[in-house]
Amino acid sequence: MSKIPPIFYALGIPVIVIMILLAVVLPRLTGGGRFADLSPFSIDGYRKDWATMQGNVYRLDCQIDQQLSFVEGKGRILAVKPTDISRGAGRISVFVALTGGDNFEVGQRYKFKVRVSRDLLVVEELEKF
Amino acid sequence: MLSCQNLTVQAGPDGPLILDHATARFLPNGLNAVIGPSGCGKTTLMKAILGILPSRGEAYLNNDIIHCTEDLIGKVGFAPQFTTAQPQLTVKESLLYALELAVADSAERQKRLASVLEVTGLAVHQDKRVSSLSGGQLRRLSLGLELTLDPACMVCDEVTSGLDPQSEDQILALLRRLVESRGKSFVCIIHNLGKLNQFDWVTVVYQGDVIFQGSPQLLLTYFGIPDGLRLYEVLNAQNLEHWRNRWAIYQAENSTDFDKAMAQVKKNSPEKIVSSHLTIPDGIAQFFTLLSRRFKLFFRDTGYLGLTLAITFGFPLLIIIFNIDGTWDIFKIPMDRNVASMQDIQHALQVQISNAQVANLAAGLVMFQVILLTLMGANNGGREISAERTLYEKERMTGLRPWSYAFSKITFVSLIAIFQGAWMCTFVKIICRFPGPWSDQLVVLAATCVSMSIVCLGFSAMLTSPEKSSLLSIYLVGFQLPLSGVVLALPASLTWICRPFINAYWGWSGYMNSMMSTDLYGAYTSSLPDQSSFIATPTLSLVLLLVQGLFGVCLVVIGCQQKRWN
Repeated sequence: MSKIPPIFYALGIPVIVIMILLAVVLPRLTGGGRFADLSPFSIDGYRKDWATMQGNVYRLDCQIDQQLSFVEGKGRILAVKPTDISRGAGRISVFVALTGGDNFEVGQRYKFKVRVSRDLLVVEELEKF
Repeated sequence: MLSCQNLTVQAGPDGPLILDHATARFLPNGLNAVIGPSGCGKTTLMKAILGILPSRGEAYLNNDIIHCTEDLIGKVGFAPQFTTAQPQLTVKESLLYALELAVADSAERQKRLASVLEVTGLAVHQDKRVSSLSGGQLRRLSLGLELTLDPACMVCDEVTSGLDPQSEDQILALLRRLVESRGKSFVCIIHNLGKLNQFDWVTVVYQGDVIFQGSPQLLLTYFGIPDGLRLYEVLNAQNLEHWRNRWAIYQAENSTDFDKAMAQVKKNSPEKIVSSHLTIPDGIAQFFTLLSRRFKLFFRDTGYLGLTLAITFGFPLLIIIFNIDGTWDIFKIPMDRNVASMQDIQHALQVQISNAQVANLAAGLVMFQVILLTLMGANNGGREISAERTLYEKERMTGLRPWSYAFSKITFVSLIAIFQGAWMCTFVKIICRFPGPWSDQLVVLAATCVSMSIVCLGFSAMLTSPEKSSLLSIYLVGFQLPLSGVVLALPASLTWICRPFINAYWGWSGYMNSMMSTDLYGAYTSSLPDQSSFIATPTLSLVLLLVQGLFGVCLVVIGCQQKRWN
């Protein structure tokens, strides 16, 4: 008569499994956001040989450091610092076309979808985080 | 009528036997007494028969095996030694709520209420609070609560213990009246051996076994004593084996004693015993009855109400003292700055430090709000079920559905928590002028308090002791801040093992992220030592808080399904 009631298994086990799954899945969900499927951009690799990366698309998680240039009607070139320094540290410049709606400030963090175009990184999509 | 065969109760899998192959049968339409020295197993015997305690062997009601307590709904009542009625309710309200949980038909409820008040003599006290009743009146209320279901048989655990002789006589006279006028059967665990002659059938329990059953006159002859008061002296002179053997021999030679006693009580029984048909209200009706009773008790229990109001309105005051003027001075660093001199570098550094201080104050105050809400949640749920577990178990014996009870409690604590979360958000946001959207912040803070309240409610459902469940709830709150990883950085390997379980992290994260479009958020992220730190969106936070709340719901439902008598 002291055995564990079936409802324990019916409700308790699925919930515990969900909690464990969350512990496994959440770090992946939180890593890349919308661009989780893209390879992370390697600053070291880019500096070493940008030509081999031409045309490729990467994810770059970074923080805005400075606006290097602004051209009316075209866009701006920003100096950004990667938030994950395991693939290279230091500043790197990206081009963000004027699409409207984005107010950049120093210190803001973004996830960028970037395409290597000649010796410039062009931001194709972006997401704040 | 109740009986049992070879009933055995063990204290734990390898523990001693509290009841050892006890066999007994009780007299229908009569007053049965169960006696024995303290700790001999009287209450254990009756609780095992009623299915309240796990046991081996068989227990019967009118020759039908009792598989679980639910088999006895409407047929057998159990009046514990101390009343389970809520002290803040009046006598009439206590009986009415008991009736609303057990009887579907409202006309029948009114009829039964009038009848119970009259029979128990509580009509003149019907508007008195239970807390103001005397010991004798409380015992009568206990009986009255059982009579609401009109069961044919009632088990009374020491209903006369601790009463003055006059009150004791009044209770026994009431039981006798019910036997003679309504044909009820009572099994009373008693201590006063001087009152044995008022019973029809006496059962003696000694060291976990039944060693005698018979009329009070037979008891005196069997044990060779002039009056019942000498019984324990004689009992203790011999060991259990002696009394067992003697009882076995006596039963073999005198098998007709029970039938003779049956014939005797039948003479005094009413000719026709009317047994009422019982229709239990549906689960939804029980849910609303419980919710209405809980809110009535909430507003009447001035101590609990005062504490809840004090923390609901007092805790937000603790937050605002850190930023009562509501200024968040974030200075912008020029996007196209050119560092020309040491002075410029120093200025930029000062701005960064100042911004980081302001942003960290904001993050700290958000975390402070969240921690205080988790503390409110612990207060809401920590004792809610465990403090009234006996009442709940008693009401289950009258047909209360565990689902109705569980969801009435979840609804009650959730409504309180929503109010607390909404008030905390509104008050602090207005005074401290936190930027960001109202809706996201309000929903995240309310959800934080709700999910913690439900998890703590789960603890109170899983544990029988209110002290233990409160302590566990407070421990849980205590772990929120260090394990959130917001103030103290957790080792990377532990971060995502801990976070899914940490309510405060998701509350804080959702609130902080809601300010993403503001300078305050940018200043905060700039000041982070690890720039890749993750701050969850309000939506993701809500999903996690919902999962945690569901975990709490599971604990509540599982805890309420199990039988846990104190």
